[in-house]
Amino acid sequence: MAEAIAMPRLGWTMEEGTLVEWLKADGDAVEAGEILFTVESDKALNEIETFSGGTLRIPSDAPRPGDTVPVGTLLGYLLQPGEEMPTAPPPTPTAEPVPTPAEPVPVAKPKLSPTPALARSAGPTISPRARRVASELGVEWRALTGSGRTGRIVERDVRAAAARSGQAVPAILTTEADATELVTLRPRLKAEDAPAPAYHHLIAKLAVVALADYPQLNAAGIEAVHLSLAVDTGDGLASPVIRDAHTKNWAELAAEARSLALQARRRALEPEAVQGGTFAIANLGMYGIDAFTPILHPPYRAALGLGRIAERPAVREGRVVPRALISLSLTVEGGLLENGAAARFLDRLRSLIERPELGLLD
Amino acid sequence: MPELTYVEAAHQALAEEMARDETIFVVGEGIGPRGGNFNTTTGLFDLYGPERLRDTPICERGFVGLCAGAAMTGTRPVVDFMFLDFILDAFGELINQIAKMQYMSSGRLKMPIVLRGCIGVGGAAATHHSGNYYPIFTHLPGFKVAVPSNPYDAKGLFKTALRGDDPVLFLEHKSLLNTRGEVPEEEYSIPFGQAAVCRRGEHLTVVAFTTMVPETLQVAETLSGEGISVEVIDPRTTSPLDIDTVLESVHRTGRLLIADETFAPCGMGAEIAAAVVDRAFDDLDAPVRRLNGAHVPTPYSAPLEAAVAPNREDIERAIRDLMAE
Repeated sequence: MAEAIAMPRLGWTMEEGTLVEWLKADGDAVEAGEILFTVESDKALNEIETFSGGTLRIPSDAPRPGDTVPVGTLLGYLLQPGEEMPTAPPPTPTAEPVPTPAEPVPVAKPKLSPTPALARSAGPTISPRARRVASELGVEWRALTGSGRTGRIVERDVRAAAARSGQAVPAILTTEADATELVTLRPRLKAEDAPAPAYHHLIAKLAVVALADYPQLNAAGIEAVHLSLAVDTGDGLASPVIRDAHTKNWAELAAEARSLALQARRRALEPEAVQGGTFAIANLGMYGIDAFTPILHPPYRAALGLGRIAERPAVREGRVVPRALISLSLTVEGGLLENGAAARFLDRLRSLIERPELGLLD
Repeated sequence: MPELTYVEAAHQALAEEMARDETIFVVGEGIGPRGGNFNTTTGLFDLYGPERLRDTPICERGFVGLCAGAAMTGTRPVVDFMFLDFILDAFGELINQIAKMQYMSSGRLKMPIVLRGCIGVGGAAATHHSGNYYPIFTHLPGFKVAVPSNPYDAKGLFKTALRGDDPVLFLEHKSLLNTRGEVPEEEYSIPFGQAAVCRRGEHLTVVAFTTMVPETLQVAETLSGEGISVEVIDPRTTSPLDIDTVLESVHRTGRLLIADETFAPCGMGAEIAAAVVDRAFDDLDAPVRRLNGAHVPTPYSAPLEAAVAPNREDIERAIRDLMAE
């Protein structure tokens, strides 16, 4: 096969070169080791030697001396007896120095592979992430079939299981809290420039405090609590969201809740103001409702319902005494009932309401 | 925005800083009238002469030691090693003096020295001209190490290197030298320790170094057609190393591959994997994987050379494999 002669790359950054002069003429017989032509690069004048012999042929349309051409441009051919100069130019020339040495023998490239994994013994395995998600969603993972290699349970398996098994079917828990101390405390929280906070503002703060211990109930986990607080607008409920409620004290929460409620009643809430909540609270106490179960809307994992605070007879140390009681109800994803998180959260909230100063200090 | 090659972008940074600060000078073999084997100093000798572009004999330990002294006395040497492999002859000066002097003098002496050179496998340059070495310098306290993967980063990181007071390894992969990219005309620099998220993705994170960055971006583009969404992170400096950006990414994707042309043992992949397993264990949905070049000196033969360095197919296979975990 006719051997192509191309503009060589003579330096790492050389992109083109000038054919200065042919030292052999079209048709000359040349031997290995002879200088064929000279090239000027950006650095120097270079003599280009051939590694093989043959008859030099220079196509009529090849670059002329003085032409500057890109590296790899065809300059001529070396022919062996019986060979013809190709009529069509060869495929895109390589940037190898020319005349090119013998064609490299193709070597099958061994596959470079990442570090192999160890084979494990029997028993279901689960990725750390999947285990974390299972805990968050309350999914019992040991019974799952994993779709990962070697049967490992991965995140998608847990999420699919949660969707399948009706983890999102809500469960409802209720309890009663003694709000007497909260009732005593509230008038003392009135500031010069602000009205006393509403009970549900204070309970909202206590719920945020309890969520820090049970982030499974919060749709954003440990990252942030955005609190949806249902408000009566006069002809229906609106649920504006208090962003980053976990960073706010009770006074800030109360002020923001009042401001949002005012906007809601004026129909002045932006659409974004009711989106992105991670925990929901609804209060129907002002209608004289004792207890109700709030509706759980995805992606919320839990919604807290507050009834009215009313004086009722309560038994304390064997005696019937009047106490201010409030009914709490919690609607949660089923998984949160099964793993106990919902019950522990509600119990924690109850004790915070009964000793409110613990949760309101900050 | 003008398009420059990687070499031109780094050259621009050097030329601008030499014009701004007359204490900067360059030392190396063939960096004077010849303009550097890789055109790193083209034209600068005509402007500043042999006082600031000093050709040296082949004696790395000698001229590196000389530059260490010069840096301590208040000038800003740039040592141009051409092929970085030759830095190995100066290890004593580098590690015992340059890296330690600021600590040993309680900060009274500064060591503003830039050690630059070409790294990487490619062009059948054989084993004495194909090393990467950045994991070695990353291991040692006292060096900063920049490994830019494109012209924009090359200029911005070189500026930061030339203006800082610490020893900096500025390492340019041979295969990237002629790659082109946009470089703004306005003044800018890129802080060390700030990774670039080159492509956003949801399913898998690839942390890639030097040439692996453009190769991985190509693979990510191909795979996006199949619905595999790959995030590509270029740390840009290995010391300091921006782990937080990797952790944030793995928190979302749950899967991590580190693609690095150089050897695996005690390398960047090992470091990143350890940090992620330590600090983000519960984010991992699959094992952390590394893709590295073969643990052998780089062969001269072009087919063998191609066989020891990871390429696009290797990256694609590693991503598919990790997605199947």
